[in-house]
Amino acid sequence: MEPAHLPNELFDLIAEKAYAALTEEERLLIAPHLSAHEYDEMHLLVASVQEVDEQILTPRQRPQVLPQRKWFLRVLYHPVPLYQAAAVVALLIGGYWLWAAPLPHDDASTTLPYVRTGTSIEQDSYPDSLVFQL
Amino acid sequence: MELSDEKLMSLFRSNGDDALFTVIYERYFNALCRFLAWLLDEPEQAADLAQNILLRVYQRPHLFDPKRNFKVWLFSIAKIDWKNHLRNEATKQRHSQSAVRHWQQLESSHPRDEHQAQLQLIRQAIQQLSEQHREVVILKYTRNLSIAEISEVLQCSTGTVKSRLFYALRQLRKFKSVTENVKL
Repeated sequence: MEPAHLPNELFDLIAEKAYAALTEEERLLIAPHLSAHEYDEMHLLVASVQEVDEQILTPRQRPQVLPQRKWFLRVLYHPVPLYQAAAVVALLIGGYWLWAAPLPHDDASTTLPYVRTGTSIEQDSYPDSLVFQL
Repeated sequence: MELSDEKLMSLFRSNGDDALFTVIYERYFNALCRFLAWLLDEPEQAADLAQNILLRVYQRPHLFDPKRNFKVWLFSIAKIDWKNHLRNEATKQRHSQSAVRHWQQLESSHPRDEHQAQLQLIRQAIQQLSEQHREVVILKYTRNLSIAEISEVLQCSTGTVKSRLFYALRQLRKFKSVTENVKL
């Protein structure tokens, strides 16, 4: 018989049972197409394929943030050459340094402890000599 | 009672409740990943493609006709995406190297014993099959689609599916017995 005309059940049985577990009726269904040995070999093959399938690891991803996660994963796994990554880091550090650098130095700022009293240096009564000593 | 895929999609279409789609995602993400991993041999690419497919379904649920079988519809999309992916020449070039790497990784993640060696043989045997034979074996015996469902996914007759399945199993047997004899 042409394989195209084989009964669908035959393909289901191969995945489900070893030859020894088949009923008499099922054995009759298989007999014209496969020997017991051939059937059992196919059954073991299918079981092995299923076992290999279970060994394929899949990433655990949470569906609640599907669109964002997609974007996130793309960025995370994007193969960025090392020199590009180093350039980005250098730019970030340089940018931060420029941003965080103090403005042109103002000496008055060093005398701020006196200002904490609520009066400016110009207004308080300390003599200038005392200010500079401190 | 557990809602069918079709019912879930129908409800998701009408009210856009993310919780409904989460159920679909949980049911199919791993299945799609594994199906594509068998065909592409690249788990990362497979996961990316699977995610893309589900993302498209999430964004355009109205494209699904609730009268159709959702599983068949989803695997039909997966098959088209897989084919499109293969058409990319660059992907084709990377394909063989990546396949070797993937199965080596899989192999190294499990202890080497006789049983694992047997499974390794099966992997090799599946890789030897033509695309047409490989996809029917994977759809039938790992994703548990019926012959009729596979014929719908592959857009061919049930007779063709059975024929491909039969010859694929025969080829797998042949490959396995040859490699075992060579080892002996």
